Amino acid sequence: MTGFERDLLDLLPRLRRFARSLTLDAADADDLCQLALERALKAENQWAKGTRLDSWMYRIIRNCWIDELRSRRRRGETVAIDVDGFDLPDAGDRQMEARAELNNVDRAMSALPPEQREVIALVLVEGLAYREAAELLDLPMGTVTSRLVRGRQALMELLGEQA
Amino acid sequence: MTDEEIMAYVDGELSPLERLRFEKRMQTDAALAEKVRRHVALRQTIAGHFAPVAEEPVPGRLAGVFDDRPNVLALPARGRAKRSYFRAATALAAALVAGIMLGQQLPDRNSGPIVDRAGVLLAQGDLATALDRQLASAPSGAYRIGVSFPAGPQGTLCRTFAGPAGAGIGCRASQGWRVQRYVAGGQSERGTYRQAGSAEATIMAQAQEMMTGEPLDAAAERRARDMHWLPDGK
Repeated sequence: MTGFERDLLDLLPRLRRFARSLTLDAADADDLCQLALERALKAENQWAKGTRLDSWMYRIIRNCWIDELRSRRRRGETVAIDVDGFDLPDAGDRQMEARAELNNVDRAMSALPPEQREVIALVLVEGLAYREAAELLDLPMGTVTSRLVRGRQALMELLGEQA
Repeated sequence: MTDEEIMAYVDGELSPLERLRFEKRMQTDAALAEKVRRHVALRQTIAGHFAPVAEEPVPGRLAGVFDDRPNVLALPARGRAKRSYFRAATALAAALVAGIMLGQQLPDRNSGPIVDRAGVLLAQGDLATALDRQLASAPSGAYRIGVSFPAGPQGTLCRTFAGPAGAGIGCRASQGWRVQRYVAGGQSERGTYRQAGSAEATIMAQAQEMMTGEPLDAAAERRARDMHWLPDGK
């Protein structure tokens, strides 16, 4: 096993956690991880040694997830999410809302538009600094912080005193 | 203070000076302190909700991605959180020994040397006996013991082993020897031969990462065996 593979393996628990906070579904999260791992193993030479492997993997997972959201949207499954521009903040995921067994936190997260959910996942769950999240998402810092503010406000409203 | 500033404080994004100023202000501004409390609570709720996912066993099919590579049963490194509140949230689940299972290719998990008891991998049969009784200095039988060492905050005793199918690390737990790492060597599914030596080298490297104290010398190892591998003879 190469060092690269071993490092990927060591990251797996965190990658699964990140995927779960994006998809809010255990099976979807593992599908996403599998896809991302396959891509990463094929694209090993695109990873610049000395840079952070975790950021690189988070980025791959995030891109795979956006692809998935796009194709769901094409199939008309998952509703009013404009994943291209992330422009429609109104998006709750109806499929998610329909699942009665969802925990409150999952339900609140699922009500966030994907562009807010991903910054919440990276900063609050994965513990990235704003600058790291901005670099990973190719966004200006100001965009990251404003999405974080809006995402947090929405979560606080949805979770009430439980949060 | 704007929401953005409060958030930056809670996320550890302020410079030391800004932080100091913010905290001074908080001492006299009860409303601000309350807002901060809510933001911290939110962060803990969200982080705490997803933290256990990183402690779950990794499903075998994810290991399938590494298929033509040696089979590895490994554990996640304990959460490397940067900020204390985040650490507090993840600490909930940060048991030393949550197993991640990447060994779906172990031929039959419940008849070999390692048995799966509700997600806890335990050594059984010859392997358990070797871990219990065998000294590194006296190799005998199917398994060879490498190094014995303390790991984790409690100084739990762990031992590396190498056997016909691979190498691993077993740690003494109340229910027996928990197999914390396992790298398969020997004959792989595709019939290619992998030298046991590389599995052992991987395991030794992992043992080094786990060590929280000096490895046991021959006398200490013997003593530990006579004390049934309980740390400090407790």
